[in-house]
Amino acid sequence: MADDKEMSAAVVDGSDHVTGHIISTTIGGKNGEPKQTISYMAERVVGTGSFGIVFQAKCLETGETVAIKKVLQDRRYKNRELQLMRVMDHPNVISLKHCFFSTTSKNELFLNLVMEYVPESMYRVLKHYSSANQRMPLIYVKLYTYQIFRGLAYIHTVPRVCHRDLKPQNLLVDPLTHQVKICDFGSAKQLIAGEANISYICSRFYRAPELIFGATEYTTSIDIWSAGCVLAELLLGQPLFPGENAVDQLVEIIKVLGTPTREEIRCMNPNYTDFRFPQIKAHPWHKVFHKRMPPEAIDLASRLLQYSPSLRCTALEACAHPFFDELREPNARLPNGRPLPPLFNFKQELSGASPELVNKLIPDHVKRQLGLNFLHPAGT
Amino acid sequence: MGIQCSKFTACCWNSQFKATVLEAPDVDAAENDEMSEVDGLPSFREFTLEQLKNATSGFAVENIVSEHGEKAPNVVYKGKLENQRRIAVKRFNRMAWPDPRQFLEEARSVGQLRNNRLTNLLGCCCEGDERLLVAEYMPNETLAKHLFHWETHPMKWAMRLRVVLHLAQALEYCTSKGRALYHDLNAYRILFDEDGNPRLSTFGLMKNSRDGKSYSTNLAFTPPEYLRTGRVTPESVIYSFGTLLLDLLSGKHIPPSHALDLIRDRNLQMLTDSCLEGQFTDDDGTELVRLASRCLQYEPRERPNPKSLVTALSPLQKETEVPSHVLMGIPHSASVSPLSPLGEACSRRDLTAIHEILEKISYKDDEGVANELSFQMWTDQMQETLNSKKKGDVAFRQKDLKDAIECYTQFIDAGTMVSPTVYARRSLCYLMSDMPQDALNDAMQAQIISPIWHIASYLQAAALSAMGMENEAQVALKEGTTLEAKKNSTAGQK
Repeated sequence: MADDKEMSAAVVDGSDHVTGHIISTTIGGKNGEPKQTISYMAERVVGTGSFGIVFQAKCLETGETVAIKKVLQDRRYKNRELQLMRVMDHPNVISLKHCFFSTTSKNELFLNLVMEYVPESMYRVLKHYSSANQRMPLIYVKLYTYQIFRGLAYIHTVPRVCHRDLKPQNLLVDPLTHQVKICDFGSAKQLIAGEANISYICSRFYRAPELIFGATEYTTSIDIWSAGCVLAELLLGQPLFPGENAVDQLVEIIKVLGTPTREEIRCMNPNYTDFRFPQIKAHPWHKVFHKRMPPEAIDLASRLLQYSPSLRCTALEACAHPFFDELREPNARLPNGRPLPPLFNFKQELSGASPELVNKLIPDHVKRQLGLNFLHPAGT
Repeated sequence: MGIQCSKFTACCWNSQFKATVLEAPDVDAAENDEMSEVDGLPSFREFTLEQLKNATSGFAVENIVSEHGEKAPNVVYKGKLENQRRIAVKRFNRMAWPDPRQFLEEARSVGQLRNNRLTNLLGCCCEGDERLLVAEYMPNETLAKHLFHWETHPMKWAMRLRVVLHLAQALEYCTSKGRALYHDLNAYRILFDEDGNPRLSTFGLMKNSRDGKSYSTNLAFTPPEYLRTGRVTPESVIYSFGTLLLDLLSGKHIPPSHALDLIRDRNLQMLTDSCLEGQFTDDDGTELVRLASRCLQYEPRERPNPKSLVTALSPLQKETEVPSHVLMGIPHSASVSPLSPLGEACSRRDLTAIHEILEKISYKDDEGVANELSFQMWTDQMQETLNSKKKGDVAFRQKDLKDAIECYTQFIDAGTMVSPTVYARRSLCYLMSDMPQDALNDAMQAQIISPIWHIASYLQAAALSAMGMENEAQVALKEGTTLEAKKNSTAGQK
C-alpha cells in the first residue's frame, strides 16, 4: 500500500457521514520518531465531484483549518494524485500535509488527502466581480495569472507533470494575501514523449483544440492553452470560448481565432489534415476585448492561444512577458498598500532557462536584495 | 473552336480585345474611346445602381464571394456587366460613407490607378444610401485560401516568392502614385487572376471613413504604432507586409512579436511551414526571415520602403519561366475541362442538339425559381398568359421560331409570372433565327432570375460565340460547366 514514504497512511474506521464527525489518525513512528495522534473535526463539504468529496476540517490538536479530499481507493493500484502531491513543493501549488485511509461500513476503502485550506477560488472571485457588474482590476489579473504561470512553470519542469484540468475552479485564491495556488491533481499526469495519453481530459471551456481533435501525443502546452483561457476570462469577466458541447467548443474557438490553417491542423493532429472546416476569418479582437485593453495583454493572450501547440510559449516565458512588468517594479504593492505575495523566490524551475530569461524574471531590486551576481551572464 | 495562347502580352491582349469589341454590334461605342492605353481596361466610371443590380442578379446571395456571406458589414459580389466584363462589386454598409462627395473623391482617385499587379478599380456607384465599388473580377480565390486552406496541394515556394514580389511591386506602384496607405493588408487582400498571378485588391486602398478601424484582425498582428495612435502610415503597411512574409514562410498565424522572438533565438524550424520541406535552402529562408524582421521593426522609420523590398525580393525569384497557373496548378482557360452534352452542344453551336436538350429538360429547372401561383391569382389574365406559354411551347417543339418568339414574348410582357426557362427558350429561338444579340439578352435575363442556372451561361456562350466574342464565350462556357458540376454534386447529396 501507499505508505512507503515519510507520510504514513494509517487506516481509520470511519462512519459514512462527514460533517460533525471526528477522525483520528496517527503519524510518525518511523525511524524512532514519536508517534503522534491527529484528530480532524469535519466541518462542511466544500466540493463534490465524480472523484469523491472535499470537506473543510479543523485539526483539533493545532486548531488549523485543512481541506480533506476523500476519494475511493482501488486496492489494486497506487493513487496517482497522491504520488504526485507527495513530490510537489511550491508556493503556487497546493501542498499535501498528510494522508490516511478510512473505511466505511460497506468495507469500502477511502484515501483522505489532507491539504492546506484556501478559502476562495478564482471561480468565486470571478463571480463576485460579474455579479457586481465590474471588471477585475488589471493589477489582480496580472497578479493572479503570473502566479498561475509560476505554478505551471514549476509543475511542468520539476516533477514534469501536466495538470490537464486547469480552470478557475481549480485555482485557489487567498483573499488576504492574494496568493494563488493550483489545486486538484486528480487528472494530472507525467507526460512522456512518444507515449499516448487519453484525450478526453480537461473541462470544456478550457480544452486545448488538439484535445478536441483527439490528439493523444499532446504536451504540457495544453495547460498553457487553459491558462490563456483563464487570462482571457479574467480580462473579459466571462469565458472566452463558452462552447455548449464538444463540437461547439471548436466553433467558439474558430469564431475568435479563425479557421485553423492546414499547417496548424497538422501541428495539432496529423491524422486530421483531410478534415474540412467552415472557413471563417478571425474575429476582430477589438470586439473580443474592450477598447482600453493594454496591448501587452492582447499580445500575451495571442501567444498563449495559438493553434500550434509547439508555438505556445512556456509557462516560464509567460512569466517574463511585459504584461507582468508592473509586478516587478520595486515599489509594487497591493491596492491596499500591503506587499505582494512572494513572486520571485524561484527554485529548481529556473534550471534550464536561458540567462536572459532568468535575468528578466528576477527584477533588479530583488537581485540587489539577494546579492546575486551569478545572474549577470559572465562570458556566456 | 476558340484557341487562346496561354500568355498574352499586354499589347496583344489589347488589340484582340479591341477587335472583339468592334465586332460586337451592341457594345457602347463610347466605351471604346475610354480604353486606357495601358492594358485594355476601361477607365474609371460611375455606374447606376440599376446596372450593378443587373450585373449581380439583384445582389443575389449566390453571387457573394466575400467571407461571412450576408452577415459581413461589407459584402463583395461577383457580377457581369452588359458588355460581358466580369466584375467584383463591393457593397458598403449604409453608415460607412455618410458623405457622398468624400466617397466619390476617394473612389475617383483610386480609380486613376492602372496596374497589372492590382485588381483595378473600374468604377463606383453612389445613389441614395448605396455606396458601391466595382473592380476587376479575380476568378482564382484569395491568398488565404491557397496558403492556409489549400485543398489539393500546398503553395510552392517559388510561387510564394512570386506572390511577395508582385505584392511589393503593387505597393511600389501605389506609393509612386501617392496612394501609399493600404488598410488592413492581409492574406485575404491578395487575389489570383485568370492566369494565376497574384494581385492586390484595390478595395483596401479605400478607407472606410466612419468606423475608423483600419485593421479588423487580432490586434497582436497590427503595427505597434497603430495600437498607440489608431492611425496607419505608409510604414504601417510595410509592417503588415512583414506579417505576410511570415504567413508565407510559416503557413500559420504567428503573432509577429512572437515570430521575432523565434527569429532572434534562431528557431526557424518552428516557424517554417512543414509543406516547404526540401523546397528551399537555408540561405533562401534566412534571407526572407531577415527581410521580415526588417519590416517588423518597432520603429516605423527603420522599416524598408516598397522600392527596396522589390530590390531585395527580385534576386530571390525561382522558376521565373514557369507561368503562375502552372505553379499554382490552376486549370488555365486554354485547357477546358470535359464538357457535358449541353456544354458540348453550346460550344459547337449545335442548335439542333441544344433544342433537343431544352425540350427534354422542359420546365424542370423553374422549380423553386418561378413564382408559385396562389388560387387568388387564377384570373382570366393569368389564364391568357398561360395559354400563350402553352402555344409557345407547341411552336418551340415544332421549331416554328417566329410563333414561338411571339408567344413567349406575350408571356414575358404580361409580367405576371417569371420563368427562366421561357427566357432560355426564346433565347434559343433568337439564336436559331440568327439574332445573337437578342439571344444573349435573354440568356442574361435568365441568369438574373436564376443566378446559378448553368443553362443561362451555356446559352450566353453560344450567343457570344455567334457574335464572334470567342474569349467571352469561353469564359461563359467554363462558368456553365462549373455551375452544372455544382448542381449535379448537390443533387447527388440529396
